[in-house]
Amino acid sequence: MRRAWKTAALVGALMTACDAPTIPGRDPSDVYAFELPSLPPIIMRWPAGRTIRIHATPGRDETGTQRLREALDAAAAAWNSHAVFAEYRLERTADVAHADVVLAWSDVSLPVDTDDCRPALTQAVTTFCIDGLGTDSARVRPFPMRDGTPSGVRMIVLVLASEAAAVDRLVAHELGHVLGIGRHSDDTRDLMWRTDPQVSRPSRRDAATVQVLYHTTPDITP
Amino acid sequence: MHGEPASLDAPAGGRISCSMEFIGKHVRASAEAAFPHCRKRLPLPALLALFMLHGPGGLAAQRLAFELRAGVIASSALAEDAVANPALASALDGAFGGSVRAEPGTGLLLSIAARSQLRARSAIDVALGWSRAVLHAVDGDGRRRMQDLDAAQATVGIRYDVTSWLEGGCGFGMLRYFAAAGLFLDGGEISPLIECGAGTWIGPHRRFSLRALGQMHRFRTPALRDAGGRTGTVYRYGVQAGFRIGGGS
Repeated sequence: MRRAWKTAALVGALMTACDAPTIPGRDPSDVYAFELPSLPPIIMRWPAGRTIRIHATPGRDETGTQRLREALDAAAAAWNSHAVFAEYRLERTADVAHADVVLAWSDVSLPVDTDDCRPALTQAVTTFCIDGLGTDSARVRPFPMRDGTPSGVRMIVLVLASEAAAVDRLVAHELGHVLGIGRHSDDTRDLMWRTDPQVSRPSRRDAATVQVLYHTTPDITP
Repeated sequence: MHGEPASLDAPAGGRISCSMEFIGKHVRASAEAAFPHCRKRLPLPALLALFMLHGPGGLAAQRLAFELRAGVIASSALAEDAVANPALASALDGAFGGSVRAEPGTGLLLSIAARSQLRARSAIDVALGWSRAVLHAVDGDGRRRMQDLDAAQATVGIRYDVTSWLEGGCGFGMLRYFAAAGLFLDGGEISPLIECGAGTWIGPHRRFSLRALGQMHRFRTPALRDAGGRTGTVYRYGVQAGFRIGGGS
């Protein structure tokens, strides 16, 4: 009887003595700046747990359309693999009416009206416009549909049609901006490297940056 | 230990194999009492077959019992991400939202167990269990649903009658989680498990049981490892009600 109680006490002690599975905190050197380079600089990200739906606009031909979709699916999967605690989820949607983001080649007509918020086209670019910047009522302005009806689209990602060979890397990089990474890395090994990205998957530093971003209080959510 | 494949003529006319894993000397003794021409050791599948062939009355004679259990189980966090060390948290100038934990909610736990007396006050218990809960992320943004979380477990344990009404016991086994995203994006891993519990038998012929249990198991997943996470220990606590079939009163 006494031995049974001793055994139970030993097991009880063992059961409270071990550490929980833990990911250690990142160091400042593990991340790069992610706030938007606005005046004042602000932190923008989607609400935690949000599924961000991206519509790949059909291209001029089926090959281009398929290429864009494949790049989007690969990039979304790569970023999603770092949302270990379901902070976000990037997902392709076939219906622009349900989209938060529109992805397109630069040489196609967009399903939304960009007259009031024009993309400044480079190799690839993510465009959104903020109303009331610096105020408590700041918000990301939704793009209206071409027929003037409201839409839920808050960002546009354009890829230069001439950059088809680099579309995987470019789309993956732009999705980093879609998630809210507002700056660039100074390390060529990172997907968010400031110019033409050399890789098509987020690096450990990219992953750490987006993790910290999604556990930082945002100034604005799309 | 494996024996040679063999078959036997069961009293009810069926045939079962007794060529598989050894469970215990007492089980073999029970089985050999029922099947004297079977000289092989009896595995769990054979216990199930025994039940099907003999029914509860036969099991009682063999001191074998099956128990169906249902209950609820809660768990400590599967993983915690500190996100930022003090230096980074300070650099974020008050905007840092704190750490994040993956916490399973209280879920359903179903088990089926086979039990056989070892001695007057002790028994061996082999159980298969399944649990389902919802996994939540808890961080500065609140508590949000991540996904459904299933877990399958198998345990072997010893039960001991501490008093006439209190039974205690411990065992060990394996557990594996099944989920599709986040922490489990690249799958789960089988983890070693230790389980201890205490309970009592109630009702006519002591056929119903109530038990409380505690489990500890190691936990890691490929996704956790890729994120730089350390393997750690998860604790689960539950209560179950059971119904015994066979094994006498």
